[in-house]
Amino acid sequence: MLRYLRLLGQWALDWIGALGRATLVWFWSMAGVPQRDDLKLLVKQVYQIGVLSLIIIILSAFSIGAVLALQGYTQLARVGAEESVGLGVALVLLRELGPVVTGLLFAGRAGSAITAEIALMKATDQLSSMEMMGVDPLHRIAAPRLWAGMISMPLLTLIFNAVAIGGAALVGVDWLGVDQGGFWGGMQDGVEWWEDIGKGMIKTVLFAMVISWIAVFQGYDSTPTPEGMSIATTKTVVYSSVAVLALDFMLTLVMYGEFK
Amino acid sequence: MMWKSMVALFVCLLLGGAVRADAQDPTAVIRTASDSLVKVINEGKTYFDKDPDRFYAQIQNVLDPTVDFAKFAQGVMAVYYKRATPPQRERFQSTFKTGLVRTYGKALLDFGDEKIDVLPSDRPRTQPDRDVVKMEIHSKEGKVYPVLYSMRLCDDGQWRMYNIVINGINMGITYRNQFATAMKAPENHGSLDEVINQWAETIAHIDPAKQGNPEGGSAAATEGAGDE
Amino acid sequence: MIRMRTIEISVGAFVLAGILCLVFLAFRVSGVGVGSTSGTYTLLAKFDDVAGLRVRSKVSLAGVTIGRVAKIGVDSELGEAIVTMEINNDVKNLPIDTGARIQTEGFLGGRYVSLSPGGEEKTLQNGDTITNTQGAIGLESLIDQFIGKMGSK
Repeated sequence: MLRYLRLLGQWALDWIGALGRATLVWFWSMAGVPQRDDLKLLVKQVYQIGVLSLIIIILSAFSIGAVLALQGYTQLARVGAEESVGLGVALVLLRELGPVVTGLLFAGRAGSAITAEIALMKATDQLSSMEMMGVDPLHRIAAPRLWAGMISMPLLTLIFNAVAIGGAALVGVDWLGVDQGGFWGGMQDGVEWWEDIGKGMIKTVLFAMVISWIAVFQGYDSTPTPEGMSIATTKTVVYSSVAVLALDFMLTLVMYGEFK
Repeated sequence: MMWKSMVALFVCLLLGGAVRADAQDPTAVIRTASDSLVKVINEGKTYFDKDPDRFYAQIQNVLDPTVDFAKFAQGVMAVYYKRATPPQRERFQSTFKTGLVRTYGKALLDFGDEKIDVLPSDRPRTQPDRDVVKMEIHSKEGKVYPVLYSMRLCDDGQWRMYNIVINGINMGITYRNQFATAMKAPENHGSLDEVINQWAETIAHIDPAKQGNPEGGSAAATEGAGDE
Repeated sequence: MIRMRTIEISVGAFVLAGILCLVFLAFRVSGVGVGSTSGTYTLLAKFDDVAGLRVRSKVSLAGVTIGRVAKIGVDSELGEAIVTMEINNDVKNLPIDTGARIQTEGFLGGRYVSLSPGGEEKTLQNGDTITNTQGAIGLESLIDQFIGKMGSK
């Protein structure tokens, strides 16, 4: 019994320690003075993180949009409300699925890549060599990836939403025959700039910060062995996914919940 | 039922105005009227079965000086008012009045000892010649039905009502929509005369439950309970 | 090894794509800016109950959207809601007894303001208030009245 308590305590302390280190990593990465090379590093990371994620984002977006339209149509047709499928799909995507699915995909693809890369650098002593040469690895490795994540993910979410709605339109209007005016008109009447798009973007930005942070930190904190790398990558994907879902729940409550 | 009785109620309210020419204040006009109302209903209950027309005539006689039917009718005809010739306007005005009396007159008799509160004015008038009088009807079951009368000061110095909102439903707008629907109905060929002729029929089928919701407020949208 | 130049171009294209998607979402999905190009004027309306009406709800006449709700305020002294509406300039000459009703749209139930023009000569000007109104009707109230009607027959 005591043993388990002790283990629990140890685990909790470890966890708090990790949180502390993570905060320091984040802080010191953000705190650097911009240097000449930084923009180039940033652009390269946006490419790695953002551009290379485009394919999976676009494919997923299209499928999800199409499926939503299909399922939505079937249910709404039962009560004669097919024209609302545009509005329904748009709201679901903008408020929830866009930010969350993009977040999960991003965590899986870009997040794990970031962690793997940094963990590898740690395992092959590149990080310590940098320090010895007087180059701040937090500044050159961590910071560009953090910023790139925060820039790329919102862009990816925007693209996701647009493609998904496009996919839904293709299925709804062209395939299932929903009236085009009803589809888009109903959507335009019901979707609000701030309420739906704006709040969805806030979610995305927050998710982006959290995912990038976890990804970079896990790489930094990893044990410099092959297993350590794989453990770190797994942690990134798992923690990021859970964080995104939990954050989404809380944000949705705060943003859209009505407290009696 | 309660609903029609209440609308009928307003019809009777107008009674008081004719009796008291010195009741200038719009609230007083309504208050006096509601007092007279109870008397008229109780009287009517005794002879209605034998002579309904007398009852309707009684009501109409008293209605005339208290409701600004010209204004009420103008509001109902709305955009078609400009198109109507003065004879047509007059014809509609009188059909409108008769229609109200006939449709709601009988339901009036359902009234008994409901408590009626005419509330004192709680706000200054925004315009010198317009006012709103609020009344509350307490049904036997304990429900409170609010009624709002839109009053205007006519040229002869008398306050008269030209619209009524019962339990949140604006009857002027309701009738206006009915009129417009009738004008657009294919069977009436957009003819003012036809619509005016049909008016009594139209008004008997208004379903107040459909007002304000998915445009089901058309004249024919009744559950069939609208026939007397 | 991919050249730096290609990387820069693709990142630029990526950012551009993102911005275009934002524009698409703004204009085609949320309807920002949909409306007349001729400017608007302001009308107010007082209601006893605006439940469900929101800022940017539409204002329609004969089923055509002619404006939007700009602001919803309250007069606590009189217990009324004051709705400020922006009406397209090409819809002028609304008579002063024009009616304003809060209605429910179709199945998913968004509320909107429906205007029915009246019969008066004088017309509403910029800043005028519509007094001939009907607020949102609650479902319970409708059911009551429906049951009441049925019960009396």
